Amino acid sequence: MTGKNIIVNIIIHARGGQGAVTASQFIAEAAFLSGQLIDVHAYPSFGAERRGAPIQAYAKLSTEEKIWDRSFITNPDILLVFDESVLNQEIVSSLKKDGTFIVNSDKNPTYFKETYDLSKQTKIIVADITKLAIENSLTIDGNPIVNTPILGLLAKALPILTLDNLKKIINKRMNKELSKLNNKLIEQGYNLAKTL
Amino acid sequence: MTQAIKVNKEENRKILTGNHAAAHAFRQAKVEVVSAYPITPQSPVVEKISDFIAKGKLNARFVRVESEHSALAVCCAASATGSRVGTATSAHGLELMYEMLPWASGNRLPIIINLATRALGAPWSVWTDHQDFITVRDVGWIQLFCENNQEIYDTNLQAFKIAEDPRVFLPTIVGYDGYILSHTMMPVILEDQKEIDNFLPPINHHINLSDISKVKGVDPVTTPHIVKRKEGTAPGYYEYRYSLQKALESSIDVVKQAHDEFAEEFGRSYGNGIYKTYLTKDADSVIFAMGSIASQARNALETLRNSGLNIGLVSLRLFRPFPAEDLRNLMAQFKNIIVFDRDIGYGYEGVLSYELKSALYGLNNPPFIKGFIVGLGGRDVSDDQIIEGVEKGLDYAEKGEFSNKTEFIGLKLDELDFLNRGEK
Repeated sequence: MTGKNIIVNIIIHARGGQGAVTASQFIAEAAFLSGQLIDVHAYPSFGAERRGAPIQAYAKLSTEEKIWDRSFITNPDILLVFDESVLNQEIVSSLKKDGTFIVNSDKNPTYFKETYDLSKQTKIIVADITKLAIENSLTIDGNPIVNTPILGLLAKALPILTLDNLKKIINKRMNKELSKLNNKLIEQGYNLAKTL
Repeated sequence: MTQAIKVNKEENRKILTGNHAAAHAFRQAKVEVVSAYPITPQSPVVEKISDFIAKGKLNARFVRVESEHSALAVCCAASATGSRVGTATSAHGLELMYEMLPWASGNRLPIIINLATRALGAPWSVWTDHQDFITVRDVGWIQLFCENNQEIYDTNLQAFKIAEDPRVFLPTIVGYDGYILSHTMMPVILEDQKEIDNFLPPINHHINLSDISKVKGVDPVTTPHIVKRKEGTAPGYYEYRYSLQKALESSIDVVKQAHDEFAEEFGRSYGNGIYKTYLTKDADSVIFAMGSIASQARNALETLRNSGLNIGLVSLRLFRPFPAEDLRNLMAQFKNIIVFDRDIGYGYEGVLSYELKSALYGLNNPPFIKGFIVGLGGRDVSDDQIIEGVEKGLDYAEKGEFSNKTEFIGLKLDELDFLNRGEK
């Protein structure tokens, strides 16, 4: 690892089927559109994934050099949590002290600060993305889809990831109707963010 | 490594997995026949290729088969008709192909296999190490290894050029770490088709079945002795195998040429095409490794350098033919070499380690070499393990303790209960 903090390491915690891997790819592709990055990596947790089981996806963003670190991320700069029921103390404690903790939840940031004894330096961003998805009928078989709207929260924490570039990637990857809905919700997600 | 990137290429830059980088290279190389059987972590390579064919982006025949053995058999037959042919596989898929591997090389068929590396069972593992790649080293294939997704794309394009060179006509394996590259998305520049056509013209095969009267195939049964016939004298097995060995030896220059030509055309190079060096100019010690382990070592070098060590990296790109002469010339200047193998020559030590020792045999004042095993079956390899190996290795060097014994870094035996049972 370089001493300088020039590689941003992001871990997504979710459940299999929630689209964490796709989200990690959106992050890498959209961040790279900024033109400010030398290298990006996006990858799933290696091995078999099962629907409903806790899973992770990862993104590494580097502004100054190519990324040669091939090891697991153990000390992320950002935790992005799709489903708070996968959380435990060990996961939260892996976050860097001055890192950013982002969670989809109907609770307040203070709840997470107290429950997991988060440092004063840790930035906490919370919004009820599940509710947002249900209200706007962004669902598959009745299950809310949170993986794109939650990226609005990440854009709040990561200036290199702009809503405009996220929308470009969404428009590239999705049909017109879905793009329109996701473009709207990613913006609403951004505006719903409660921060601490 | 130069990373020169022309500005006008930006629009051709995509964020791709290593598997898809390989598939795009096959598409742009205009492969004519692909036959494959799915296996993790390779499957997305051939899924993407069949997607290209279905969408009309690649004019190729995709032959579905019931096993990897048949996949390579189909590739051999297709290549024998004079087509450009390739496939992809991993681990036991490659082992099931084993019987066909020497047929491909003995018949001098320029087939390309992309190998997303994976550990061999038992026990069952889907994660990376280099055992599958290493295990097929003695069957007469050229074997190249990659460190990132751009290199996978670039190396595939070079591989066709090398394999189809009349001085070579040999099948080639392009290896890259399963998951670590196969499933990780990275920026990859896809080159202009016209420029690729220029670099890699259509295959001019040594076999062309369309004019069957002139075909000079390999004899079905080749005797130990040479056979005199009316139409000429046929070689014995021994002469055929001599020519295979000579073709492999001469392919080292062709690998360098293809690499240099590619670098000239597209502005990206990988050392001298044989190996890549990093921070070696003032180094008295170097790390010697391949693929993911070489990449991790690059990452660890800053910490090692900051601790006052004059240490660099030699990352091996061409594993077969083993570039012994190139490595002798390079390595003679170093005092110590720490080798990290993500594989074992079971019953002996890490394969890179003993290959290197053998290559440097007879040097005056040879470097001290110590090998370590790391990361089998996808065990995470961090900077800490590289640093631990370097420190241990240099310690042995200082004491002059030479050993061929394997030493594993990152083992967690002390966390296993059963080891303590006898003592309780």
